[in-house]
Amino acid sequence: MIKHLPALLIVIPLLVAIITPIIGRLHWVLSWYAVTITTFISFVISLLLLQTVSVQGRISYWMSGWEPPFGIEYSVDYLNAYVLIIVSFMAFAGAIYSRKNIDVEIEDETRKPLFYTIYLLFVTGLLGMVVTGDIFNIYVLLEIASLAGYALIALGKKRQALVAAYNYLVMGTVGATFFLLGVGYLYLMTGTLNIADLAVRLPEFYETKAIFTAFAFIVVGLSIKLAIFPLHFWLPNSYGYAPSVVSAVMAATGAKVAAYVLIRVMYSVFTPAFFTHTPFNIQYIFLLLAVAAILVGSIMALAQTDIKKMLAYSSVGQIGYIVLGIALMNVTGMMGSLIHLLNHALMKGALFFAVGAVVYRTGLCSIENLRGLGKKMPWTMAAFTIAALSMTGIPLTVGFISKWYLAVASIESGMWWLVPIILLSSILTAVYFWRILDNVWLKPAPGEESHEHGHDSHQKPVKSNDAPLSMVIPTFTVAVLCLVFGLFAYAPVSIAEKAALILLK
Amino acid sequence: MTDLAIPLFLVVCGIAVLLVKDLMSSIMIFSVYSLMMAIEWCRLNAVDVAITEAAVGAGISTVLFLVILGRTKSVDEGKKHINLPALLITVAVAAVLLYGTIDLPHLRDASIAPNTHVVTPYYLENSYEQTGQINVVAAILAYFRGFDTLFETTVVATAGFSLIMLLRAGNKKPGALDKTGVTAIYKKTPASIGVKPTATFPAVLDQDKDIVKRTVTKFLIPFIQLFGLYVIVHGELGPGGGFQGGVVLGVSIIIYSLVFGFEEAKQRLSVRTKDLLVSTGVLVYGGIGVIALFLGGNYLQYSVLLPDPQFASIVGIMGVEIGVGITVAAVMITLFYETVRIDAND
Repeated sequence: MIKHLPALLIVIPLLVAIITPIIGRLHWVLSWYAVTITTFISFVISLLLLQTVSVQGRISYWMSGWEPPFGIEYSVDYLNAYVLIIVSFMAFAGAIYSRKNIDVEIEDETRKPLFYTIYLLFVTGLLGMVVTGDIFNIYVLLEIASLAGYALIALGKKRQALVAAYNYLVMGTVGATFFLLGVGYLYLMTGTLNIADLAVRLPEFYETKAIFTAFAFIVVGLSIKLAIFPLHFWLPNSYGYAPSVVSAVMAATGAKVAAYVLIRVMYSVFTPAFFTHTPFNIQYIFLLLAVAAILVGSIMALAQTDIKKMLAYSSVGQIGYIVLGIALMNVTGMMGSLIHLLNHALMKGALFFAVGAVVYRTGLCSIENLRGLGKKMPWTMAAFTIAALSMTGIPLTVGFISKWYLAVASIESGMWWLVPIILLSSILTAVYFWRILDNVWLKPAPGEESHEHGHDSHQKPVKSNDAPLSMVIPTFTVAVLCLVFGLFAYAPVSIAEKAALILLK
Repeated sequence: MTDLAIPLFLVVCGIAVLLVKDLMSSIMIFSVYSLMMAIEWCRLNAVDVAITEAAVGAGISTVLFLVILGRTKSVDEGKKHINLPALLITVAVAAVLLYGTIDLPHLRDASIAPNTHVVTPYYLENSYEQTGQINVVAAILAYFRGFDTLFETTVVATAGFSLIMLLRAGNKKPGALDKTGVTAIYKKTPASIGVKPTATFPAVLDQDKDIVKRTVTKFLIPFIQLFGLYVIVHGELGPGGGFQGGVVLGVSIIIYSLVFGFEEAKQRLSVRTKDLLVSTGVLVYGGIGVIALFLGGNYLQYSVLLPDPQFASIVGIMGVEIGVGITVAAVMITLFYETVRIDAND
């Protein structure tokens, strides 16, 4: 069965997702079990795939038994396996976390089994996009992940969630259509859809306008999905109004997969040689957008009063870091980006998980509301603090590792001016997280400081009233991983290095 | 001549939709647009796409638009303003697309890459021998690229699940009844905000008493369904397949519901059964792939299903087409049922 792992990785979640609404008719908890176990199986398969890659090199699986380029190929190398592990792990953590979270943020019992169906379809789509070696197959799976994503965001309890989901639907559809148009042009010029075959056949057409147009459409389409500044405006409301578990999993996996596809397109379908043939300097455009994203994201995050929206804007900035590393076009920069894929998934996942736990206990998520929560929810807030410190890039945390690699890569390419920007953004990040940490640990809880609110003083704040274990454990585990991979960065760094060397060979 | 006439007509339709103020008119123009599109697909020898476009674009979406229009209020917003940035972006995108076509080879040129690169010739040479399909398109969709088709079916199913989750469950919430005894969502229908609903609003729920419509519908539905089944199972010989046939099957139930009322349609195909069918189709498709795995082949490798590989392929392709048909038909019905039953209150 080892041979069939790439297929099983996708097929098991797909079939379980389809069965989930049926078993959910008995009791919704059964669908929770199904999804949690399935995402765990996917995580195990991802680990096995990485192990297989390290033993025998690139894996190629022929769907329906047709040799590529005639059939669809699933191919796994270090890069795929690495991203698969990130996605499946965060999906697993999210699944455990969701059980209690949706009690509060979805409520309606009849919706729960279908929530799990769509959650699992979302994960299936993302995993498929990462494991496939066929560019049209990426599009099909992108559609599944996107459709499921719109529905998940629309589940938010506030009415604005529907508007946010609708805006995302329109933008996402434009993005997917651009991607498809680009793929169509590529096919018309080369007659193939297999990524490896495309890489062989494309160089002779590098000079043509059609191929440049194809590249432009694919990249712009992916930029919408990735929410690269200035195409990010669907993101803050989507993450802000979606149920917390959805925000966490989407921020931790959705954007990562879009970044992965962008890397694949830029370095596996096209090659760095292509960028010397383009009418204008693509590297500078990307660098400029990355810098703008880093600064605008951080500044906008400062202006928010709602934590979820603040985290969403902070994501815009962090995506800027990922793009920065991709655009530097050297091995160190690519390593920085790849490490940041993992690091940002862990940090943002932990932060959104923690906010969801606060919503579970207090029902609110404004920054003001967090006062004194450090005493009431010590574990959740400890996790939040670790992840927040990591976001600012303090040494010994994962945030430091990725920023270090990006700074070194900037110097290697002779772009010194990028280093102060990375530092400035770290300071801004520190400022907007300090506002929260100050409220959490140093300010007294609302009921304690004054007795103006009569009914508040009746319920004396319980010493420790943390979120249920099924929420605290995933939150705290993910936060601790921010420290573990900060202290022992060898594993992710060595995988990222191998992946970067394959991409930039 | 028609090379230019139809695309031009499509552009005219597109602009007309933007300029027309009345929503009813834009829906009708959309319907015409889809019909013209279907003709264009026929001209491009994509008859199967034409069937889908005619059934979904001109048929089901028009019906859905009308149902929804019947439930919204119309407000005169005054003069339409042109959104300048949006216009500029659209023009820029169109310009880039056209720029890319400058050195694109002509579609009818026999020497273009899709015709000469190894992939297409391989399909043409091996399709009958290895898959038993006379219709090469069916062989590509269901076998050579069968994995794509599995997920295209899943896309349709995902849309169905999302609709059920978002539209139905929210309505059934126990606490949704407010003091007046009206459900929260029902309150937002046009009648409650003092706007008279148009005629389509009650019509989608109630029976149509018109004897002519009832008789014609009763007479036509068996033929429509037979045609749907024919399109599903004869994909190997002519244009068609699961998607097209499924859509046609779905249309037959929608027409029934439109004329005989939602209550009676539910007697024929209950909501529970229909929900089950959405899952069933994908399970059939994915399950055939899993059987192939257990018989020692790769995922979806139909040739291992039976001793004779060619016959096994025919059986496998037939099986997955039926799976596609079930899911697509069920989701088409879901689209209609879920939109209509928000008001049905059951």
